[in-house]
Order: sequence, then structure tokens, then C-alpha cells
Amino acid sequence: MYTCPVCYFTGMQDPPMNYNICECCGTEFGNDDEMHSHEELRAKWIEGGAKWFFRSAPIGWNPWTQLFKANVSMGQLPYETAFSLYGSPLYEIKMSSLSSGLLTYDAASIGYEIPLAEAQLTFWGMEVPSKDATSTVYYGGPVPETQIISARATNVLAFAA
Amino acid sequence: MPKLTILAACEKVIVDRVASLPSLISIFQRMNVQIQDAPLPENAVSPTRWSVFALWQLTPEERGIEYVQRIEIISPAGDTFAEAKTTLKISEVDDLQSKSHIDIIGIPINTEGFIKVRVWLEGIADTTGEYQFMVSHLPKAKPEEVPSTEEGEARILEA
Repeated sequence: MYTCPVCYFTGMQDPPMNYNICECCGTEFGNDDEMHSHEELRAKWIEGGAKWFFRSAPIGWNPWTQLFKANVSMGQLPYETAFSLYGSPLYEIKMSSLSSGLLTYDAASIGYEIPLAEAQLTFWGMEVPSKDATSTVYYGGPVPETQIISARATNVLAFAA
Repeated sequence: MPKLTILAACEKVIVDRVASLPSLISIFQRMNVQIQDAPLPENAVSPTRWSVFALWQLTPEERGIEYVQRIEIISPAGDTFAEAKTTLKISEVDDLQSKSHIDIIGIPINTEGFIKVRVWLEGIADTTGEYQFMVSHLPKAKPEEVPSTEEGEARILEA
């Protein structure tokens, strides 16, 4: 397989020369690139919508992904995007020196280090449903199943120590 | 039957060379895309490199069995954006976990909605796991109005 120097399609059956035609962008090598550089031909192909040339495109083929893989910069494309990643609020509870028992505290105090007597944490669960709700921390034993039923599945954390 | 214990889409998977321990960087939850100029082409993608990480838990009886893991990325429009196939097999010396990650170029951004990452083991029912993250479009930011020098001076004097 050969790579087309115009559109960067990697599945060319024949080398890009001797009047072979790229089935992706339709460039005929030795003819189309006589008068125009590969960069110019690429720009023209992109300007025309970067469409597949011969018959139907392979399943899942995407011209923009093909160009990105070849490190063609965003500036050469007909669209420009800026993107940013966001997540849901992060809750964190620091626990140390735990003893058996049950502690209930307000969600607003998340991040507060819970000072408890020395003991070994065996299992604990945490419910963080919303900013205003009350959260419950269980320690010193298995989390009671019934106690976490009401918690939102995505916000329930349970770790084995 | 192997159990899928971790499935996540993230910006990067870093694997420790010595211990082969993976670390996931920036697990995707939501991606805001700001369209800068012309309308997006039908199959527009964001030039993002990202990864899908999967960890399977196996039982001792499943040692030596070869599994074929399939990963499918579904765009918000419902089309298959990418597919991958990986062979999983744990040997006697391995522990009972099998991890893999694939690197993907581009995120389909033409349509708002959830991008779904589907993972399953070929030929084994009930092994499908799904992870999804949201792609949202934001309106193009308006350039801030910058007052001319005279206007700016006048405002300062007024203040």
C-alpha cells in the first residue's frame, strides 16, 4: 500500500506516479501534479469538501481524521474549533484514624478532615447527592445496603480498605 | 465470564515502563466545542488525540483462553466513528486482570450529544460495557468591543 501525498490516504494500491489515480482525492500523478504542487491540490480538494473520489468510501472513512493523522494543521481546514473539557464537581473526603461508629455531616464540609479515634477502616461508603444535602459516611464495618439505595448511582463511592 | 471492571475515555493513558501500571489522564465527561467560523462539514471531527482504557477481571479458569475484545465509538448521530479489535489472553504467570487501551484520533463534533464507547468480548453475551461523554456546542464568542482611544479617554475623564 502507498500513501497519497495529496490527501494522505494510506490505501493506494499503486505508487503515486505514472498516471496512477488516488481513489480518495482523485489526483492523477504525473498529470495533475505537473502544474500544481501537492499542497495546492490538497487545498483544492479540501475546498471542495474533501469528498471521496472513486465509488464509495471505505466504511468509517473520515477525511478530517485522515488529515489529522498526517499532522495537517487545523488552519488548513474549512472549519475551526476550540474545545475544552469539563467534569462534574469533585468531592473528596480525607479519612484517617477511623473508629467504629457512624458520622453524619453536611456536604458543604466535604474536604474537611474527619478527626476520629484510632481504628482500622474496613469498608466505607459515601453519598454525595447534591450541594445542600446531607452526606453520610459509614465506617467500622460494611456499608448497610439499605442506606445507600437512595444515593445516586454515579455519586456513590465504595472502597474496600 | 470475564468482567469489565474499568472502562473510560480519557485524554491519555500513561503506562509505566517498568511495572506496566496504567494511569489515566483527564477522564472525559463533557467537551464543549466552540465553532469559530463557517458551519461544520457533515463529518467534522475535532483534532483531538484520546484514548479508551478497558480492564477486565478474569477467573483462574479463564487463564489461557483467548478473547477478542471489540471497541466501538458511536457518534452522537448514531454512526460508528471508529472500531478496534484486540486479542486478550492471560497466561499462567499473569495476574487475573487484562488491560488494554487504544488511541484514537478525532472526536466527532458535528452533532451535539453523547459519544458512546462500547466494549464487549466477541461471542460472549452480557459482556458489553458502555461509557459515554457529552459533546456540546457553544455559540461563537463575540469579540469584546474595544473603545477607540478617544472614547476610552472620554470614559476615563468621566470617571
